[in-house]
Amino acid sequence: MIAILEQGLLLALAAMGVYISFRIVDLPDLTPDGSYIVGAAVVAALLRSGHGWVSSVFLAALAASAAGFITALISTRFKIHTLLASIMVMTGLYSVAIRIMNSPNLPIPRFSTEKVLSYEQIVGKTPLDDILGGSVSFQYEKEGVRAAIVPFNNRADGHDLFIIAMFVVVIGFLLWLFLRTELGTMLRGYGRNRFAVKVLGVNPNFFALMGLTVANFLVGLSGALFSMYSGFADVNMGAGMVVVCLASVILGEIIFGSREFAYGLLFPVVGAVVYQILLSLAMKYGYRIGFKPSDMKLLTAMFVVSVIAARRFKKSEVTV
Amino acid sequence: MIELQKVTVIYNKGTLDEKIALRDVDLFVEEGQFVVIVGANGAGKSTLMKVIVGEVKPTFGVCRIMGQVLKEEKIFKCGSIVCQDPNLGIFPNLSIEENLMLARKKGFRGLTFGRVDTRALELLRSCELGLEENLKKKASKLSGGQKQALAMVMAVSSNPKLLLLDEHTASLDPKSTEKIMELTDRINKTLGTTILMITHDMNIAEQYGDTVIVMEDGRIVARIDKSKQKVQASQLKSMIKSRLTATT
Repeated sequence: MIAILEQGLLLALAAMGVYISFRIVDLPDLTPDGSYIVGAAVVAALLRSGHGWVSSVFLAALAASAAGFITALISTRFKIHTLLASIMVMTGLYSVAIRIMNSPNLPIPRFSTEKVLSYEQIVGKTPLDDILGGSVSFQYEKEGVRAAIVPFNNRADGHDLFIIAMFVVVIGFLLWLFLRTELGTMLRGYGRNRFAVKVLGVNPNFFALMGLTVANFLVGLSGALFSMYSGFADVNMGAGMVVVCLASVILGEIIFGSREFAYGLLFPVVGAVVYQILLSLAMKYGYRIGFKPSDMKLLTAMFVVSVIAARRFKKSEVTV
Repeated sequence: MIELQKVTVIYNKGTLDEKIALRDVDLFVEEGQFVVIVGANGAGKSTLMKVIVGEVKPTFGVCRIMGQVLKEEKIFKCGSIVCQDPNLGIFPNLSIEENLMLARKKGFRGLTFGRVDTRALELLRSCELGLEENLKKKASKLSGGQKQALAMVMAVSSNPKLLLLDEHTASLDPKSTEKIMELTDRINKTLGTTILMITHDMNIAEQYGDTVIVMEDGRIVARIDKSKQKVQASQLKSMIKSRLTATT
């Protein structure tokens, strides 16, 4: 259960980002599918090069937020719909992530290893080599890697849960505080009435830039933490992230109904944890009715579509 | 305050869909004036408003606000607009209090915690629509008349020099219209805000404002100065009607 909560809260950070883009600023942004990987890739690359985890995580989130900024810039400068702009950025980020990692995936080493030599280099030539004329593996030699210092121990003893929960609480509190300020209130207002922002003498495009930058910062943060938690970064780990986060947000909205605590910031947090619980239940018992773990993305997409469709039939508000 | 010189607006110029929306319009609105523009649909009233707010550039002629040719964002720094749709002037997802807090001043905001202006609260109270008692209520939950009253109070909270009203009572019931028009008049008289109002309601044109401008087919066909001409309300109505029929 602790591991489920840990993963749920890690997802909650990304879901908060998606909540900001889809619900608060009302911009359908698919960049998280790419910015999640960028966050993971940057943290893996920085940790491997010997940087501390705090600065690595911060820089990773910053790199992901730059992706959101670029999406908003393309959308506002060139008048391209956010959906299309984010698809282009998301596609581009796939290549960027591979460039950062220099490979499609990158492990985050937990233990230091010495220089790796081939068997022959260690024990010397064997009688067989005289007959065969030496083996190819004789050339094998690899530099050793230094262990990355990460805050997680993966023992499911509450230590990791505490750290992740602290991240969620601190980020959630800061966001809540920000949304209370005049700037934050105007950001919330922008999501429903761009014209009124313009009438107040403020360029509405600024809020698109700010909203998507903050949203992708959170997604990148989630990607970076998950990468450290799981011990690797992979270029495919962000696929379907927007849909999963959206499902979390919708689950939260269903649970809380019309009660909007903390400007709705609790929706993605509670929703993500519930989503993770449902996911683990489906993985544990789903095989009885023929489900495979790989079916979860399909189920999640179907869930999002069915909730939106149900709301449309009820003629209630939905902005997806 | 507002100066339009020989303003002509041609939409889709040089194409088959070419349409002349304004023809050689000269308009001068002094500071503190309450000018009402009336005309039938297609008379060019809305295009005139778009030219004033900088949304449409004149094909010919010039439009100056406070002696300067201003861009859209600059105009909104010194002026406000209330449109026909009550939802356009407010932030529906925010509470009345938050709406008023944002409307307190023009321009960019920082990471500060704002408060509601007492003058805005007084104006809200003067509407007698019960808004001041429900400051925590979300604006989306208000009626059309309440929303428009809130939009009006928000529009003048930042103390703008110019208030533009684009058929702001068109979607309201008669009772709400009366309340909103009383508020409009009060804003002009007590705050001294220059008001340029567009309407196609003759009764409003005859009751409110210092000057009535009649538009037809993209032209200003009459300018009736109520104070100088000392016309009676009924006379004014017939004057407007006669001007409109004379041109058609």
